[in-house]
Amino acid sequence: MLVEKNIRDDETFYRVLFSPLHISLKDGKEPKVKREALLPKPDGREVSMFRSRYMGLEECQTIGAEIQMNGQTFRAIGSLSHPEIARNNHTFENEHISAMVIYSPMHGKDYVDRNINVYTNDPDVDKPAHVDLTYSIPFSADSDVKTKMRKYASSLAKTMTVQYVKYPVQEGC
Amino acid sequence: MIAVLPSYAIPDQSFFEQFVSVTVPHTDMYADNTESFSKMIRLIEDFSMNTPVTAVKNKLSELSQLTYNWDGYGASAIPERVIKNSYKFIDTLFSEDCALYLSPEDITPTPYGSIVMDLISVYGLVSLEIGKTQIGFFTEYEDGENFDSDGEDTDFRSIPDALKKAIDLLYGREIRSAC
Repeated sequence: MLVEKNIRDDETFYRVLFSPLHISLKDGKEPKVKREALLPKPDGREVSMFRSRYMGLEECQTIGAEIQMNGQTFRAIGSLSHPEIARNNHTFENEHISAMVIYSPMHGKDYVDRNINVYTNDPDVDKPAHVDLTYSIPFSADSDVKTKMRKYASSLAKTMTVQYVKYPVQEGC
Repeated sequence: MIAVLPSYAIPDQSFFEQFVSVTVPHTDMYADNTESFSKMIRLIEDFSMNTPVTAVKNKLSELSQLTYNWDGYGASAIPERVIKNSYKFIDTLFSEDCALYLSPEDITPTPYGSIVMDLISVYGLVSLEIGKTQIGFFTEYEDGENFDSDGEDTDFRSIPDALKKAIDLLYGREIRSAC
């Protein structure tokens, strides 16, 4: 199946979590994805996700377990919907911050050329369903705290649903 | 005896050795009470290791051990300076009774190397972020107007005025309609 470059308005995305620090497991409450799971790494503004349209939850679990990035342990999967991202952008319109989902299949740690058509069973693309949640504001080296980005992520994380948790999720590192 | 422990103390071995050396003559005098004495020491140890400030500092200690890529997506380790600032600011928060509802669970590192502390009460949330030189924060009150700070330079020995006001509102220490 061809992976559409256009991201549809009604799509859902999965964020695979490898750290227990990104999951809130308070007694008696549903597990939640913490906002920090939606923040980019230093000098970046992208957050990796997978399109549910091309990767079911079970397949996502398998991929998460297989990836086990650099010794990290697969912990959980949170889902996020495109309409919620749009709503969040509207909420933060006056604060001049937004995020958009960008088609970005990967193979290993490398992005695949966006001009190439990618298929779900492409042997040369091991993450055809990969997309980036990309923030509109660049990472600023002038400030070592990111209030705007955190506020945006906080609002968006509240709309996420934990689809899968690998128990036990131990507190700590 | 519990009441004399300073709230900010993290007792180490020497603290208890000092304590025991002072108290042991009493146990000699009341030999039958040796077991009770041991229980008392254990109680003090349990209490001391579970005070909120100790639990919070233990969490910071855990975060200081994070290495590059702890989240699997290229997160940086937490710089030593940020850890030190966090310890300082924890002392400041506790000494000013501003950490009443700070739980270790609500202390979270960011992928870019700062530390976030969420103070939560029935009124909502104050989420503060500690960096190398700055503190930033935003509020999510259940009611009232929210405000934030993009980052303020600080020595972490005092609470910036805007943040202090936000925390007071969170704990209901100011009239909330004043927001």
